[in-house]
Amino acid sequence: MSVVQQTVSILLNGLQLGAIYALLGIGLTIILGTMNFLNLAHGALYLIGSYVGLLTIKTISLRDGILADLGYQDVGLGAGFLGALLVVPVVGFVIGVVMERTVAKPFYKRPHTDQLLVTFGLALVVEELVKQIIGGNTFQSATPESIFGITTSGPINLPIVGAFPRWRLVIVLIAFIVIGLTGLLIARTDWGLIVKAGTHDSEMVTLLGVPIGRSYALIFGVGAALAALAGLIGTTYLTVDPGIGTQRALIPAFLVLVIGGAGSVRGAIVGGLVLGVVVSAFQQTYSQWAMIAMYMLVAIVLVVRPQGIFGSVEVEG
Amino acid sequence: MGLLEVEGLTKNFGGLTAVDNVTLSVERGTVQAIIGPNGAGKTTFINCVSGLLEPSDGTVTFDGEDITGLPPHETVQAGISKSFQTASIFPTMTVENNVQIAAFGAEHGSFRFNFLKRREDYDEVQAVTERMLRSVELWGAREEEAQNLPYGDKRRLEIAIALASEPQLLFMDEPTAGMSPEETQETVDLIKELQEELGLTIVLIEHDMELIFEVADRIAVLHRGAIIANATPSEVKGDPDVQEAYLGGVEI
Amino acid sequence: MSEETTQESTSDSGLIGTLVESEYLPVVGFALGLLVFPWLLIDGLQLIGEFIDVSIGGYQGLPQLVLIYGVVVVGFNILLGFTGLLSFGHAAFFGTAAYVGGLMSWTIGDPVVMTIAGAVVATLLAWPIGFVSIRRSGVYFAVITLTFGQMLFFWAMGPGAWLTNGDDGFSEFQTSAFLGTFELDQPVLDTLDLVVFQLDMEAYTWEYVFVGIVALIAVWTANRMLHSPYGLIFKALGENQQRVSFVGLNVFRYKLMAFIISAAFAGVGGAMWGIHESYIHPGTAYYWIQSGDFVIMTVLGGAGSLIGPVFGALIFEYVSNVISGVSLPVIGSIGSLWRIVLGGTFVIVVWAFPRGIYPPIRDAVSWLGSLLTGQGGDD
Repeated sequence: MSVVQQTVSILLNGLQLGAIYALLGIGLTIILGTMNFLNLAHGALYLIGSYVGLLTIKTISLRDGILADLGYQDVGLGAGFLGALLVVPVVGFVIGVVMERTVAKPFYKRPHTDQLLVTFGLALVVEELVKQIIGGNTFQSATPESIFGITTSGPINLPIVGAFPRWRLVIVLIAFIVIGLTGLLIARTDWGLIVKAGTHDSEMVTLLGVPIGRSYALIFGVGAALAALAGLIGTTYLTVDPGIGTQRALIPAFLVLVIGGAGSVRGAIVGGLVLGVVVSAFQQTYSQWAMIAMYMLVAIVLVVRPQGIFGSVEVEG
Repeated sequence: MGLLEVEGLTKNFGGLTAVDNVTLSVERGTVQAIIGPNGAGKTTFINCVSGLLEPSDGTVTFDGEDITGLPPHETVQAGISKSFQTASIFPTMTVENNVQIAAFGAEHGSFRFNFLKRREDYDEVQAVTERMLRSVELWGAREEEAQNLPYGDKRRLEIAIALASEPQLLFMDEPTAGMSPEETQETVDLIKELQEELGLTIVLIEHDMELIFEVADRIAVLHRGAIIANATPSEVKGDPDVQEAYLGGVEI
Repeated sequence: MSEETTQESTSDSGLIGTLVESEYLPVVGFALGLLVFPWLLIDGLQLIGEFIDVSIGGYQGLPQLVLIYGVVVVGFNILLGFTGLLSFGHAAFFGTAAYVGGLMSWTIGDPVVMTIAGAVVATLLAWPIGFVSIRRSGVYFAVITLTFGQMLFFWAMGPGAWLTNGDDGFSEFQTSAFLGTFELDQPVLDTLDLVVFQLDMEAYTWEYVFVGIVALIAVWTANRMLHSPYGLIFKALGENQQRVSFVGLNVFRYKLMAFIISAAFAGVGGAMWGIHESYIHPGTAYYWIQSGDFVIMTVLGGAGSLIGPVFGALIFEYVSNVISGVSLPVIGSIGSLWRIVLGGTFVIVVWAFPRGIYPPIRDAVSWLGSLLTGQGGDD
């Protein structure tokens, strides 16, 4: 591959990776930015999205776990990707709202370490439950054959790079549509005001008549839905196992948060893309260093500009 | 030259100017009061001097040394201490430990502790701790968990902590907020005592005018971040600008 | 526990009273516990198990493992329970010390030297990592520490495999005898003749003695440190960081100190862990799950007290190694369910008992103590 080819390939892959990272980052940043709540269970939401997605798209055969032991060999709705596109975000949203009301709310006034600890514990329990119920083995990805009659699987011939998996382009499209919708929601709705205002001006917004409690639940729900959606997308081209919550979702989400700046949706998008491109670059050149490079990037950001690209400088006393 | 010399101190937050070109000189051994309506910038001013915030412009000189923009722990080492508006104590630690830590800070500001040496074996620190606690009459309660103290005692503990740093200048940010008249009078006596016996210089932010008129040598009036008057109590009383700023507010 | 009554209790109740009130109680208690621990964990539980027809006795080597993790979490707690900093990356120090110890064994195989080497390198590593991580607080701090741990994981699996043997794991431990003469896997004595019966000393190997001594030193050191000015400052940082800077102390440097100290403890534990396991893999040495386990153990046992976390390590290791193998009548084999139960317990503890399970235990001991000394126990 020539340098040009390689560069374009890196950018394309980076774009696709970055889109997912951005989705994850946005979900996390709106929760942190408004409620100052640190949610280590974000990865668990991705995990749930992945599995629900998998089970909705097709049927899978179970070998391990309680369901298998009970005799359920093949489970799944077989509703295809479109079905999952409807089901997964809704499931994610509902779980998010429930989580906010039951777990987050009692912890708003408690020290941050407690928030971290309880959500960490929750993430663990969810991961283990999934392992127990569905089994710990890895499932293959479920790339859809076609949507609305347009073929989506297989390669497409692009200028410069040549063959490129069609589905990856579709992912980018979907991700950006979702991000765009989220952006619209934030810009046009009342609760969006709260997201924009962030924790500092939440009081002001309440005075303007926006009900905070319900809005918090909605924000959490949206954040969770985004994470679940990212999980669904992940299912379509990556393998699925109980461990993906942390490594594939939680950690990148937080890294995006750090790079982009807490509470900033713009930051999450830019941060996600930057991260995606950096990882992609290393994956294609010195692949052994790809993950390390990802972490290095974050460490550098933290040293050079701790508040992230779009974050505001905290008055740390 | 005054102990504390502030020149042209300015603090901007985005579009808002919280402290506007403030110049102030505080003489050693005096009580300088700063008054003004809420939001006038009094606390921001103190935060800029103590190092919690970095000034946008201007200089702060203390005892001849330029301390502009130094972080809080260094201004304390330089000799400035602050007692907070809300009692900023260490809740689950004992009263004694609360003061002890300030005494350690003063004695051994830099990293010189031997980590295996017991706290009780630092005699100087123990002496300062005891002295401070006795002066606010909390020595008897020294084993109590700080959060269990009644509010008035917490405020006194707060002051003891500030004093244990052995400062030359003490900022007191609304020390009598929420206190009963007796407690307020005790605080007044305490301030006078600190000034006379320890030769402490005090910068006092307060809303209680009676108190201010009793203890202050000079009063600076802050309005929308700028000083509109800085003079002796009787001069300030008669100042028309001050009266205008306080129209309908506190009676002078 | 009020120190005001110390004067009275010395005259009223002599030795026991002073001991209970003394700051050395945790250390002495720990030392005494060390003597009976293997017997209790292995044989004692075995006996109880026979009564209820469930095999719940520990296996040989388990006591050492508990103490090894115990050392790690005592240090970790100085950072978490006292200074209030939650790190999800301490496996970085744990794992590094294990590998360094293993590599050191190719030159000098004495476990003491291996442990010191591992601990020193881990401590040196903590300086830059701490320096970068402490610049931020809260979740950012947790994330950064996590990233460093993960960086090391990926490095050990990939580019660093020439040293660590990557995914195949490192098993070339050439550990030799403790202090040159005592083989680690040999029991100190075969049996111990007590007047009434003979005690089987199989579990009391030289490895246990080695680990036990190190653990005791660790506990003693941590105890001293917590009673020194540093201890006061760490605790104050956890309670009101802003005030600490306002008494003239450089918060950053003290946080860094707490971080480095906790890393040193993790290093000591890690090196001993390597010696004990004789086979280490990045997945257990460096992966964030190991760091997460430290957090769980510490919180479960009781952040905020010196010895509490050791109980957390005990519960965690006992459940994961023994209970997981148990078969109960209705449920069948417990197997990997233990993680859910532990996770669930952890969540409950964080929610309802932020000080862990140790304070109630300690309060019970203190109450017992006051009964023995005849003091009115209103603590």
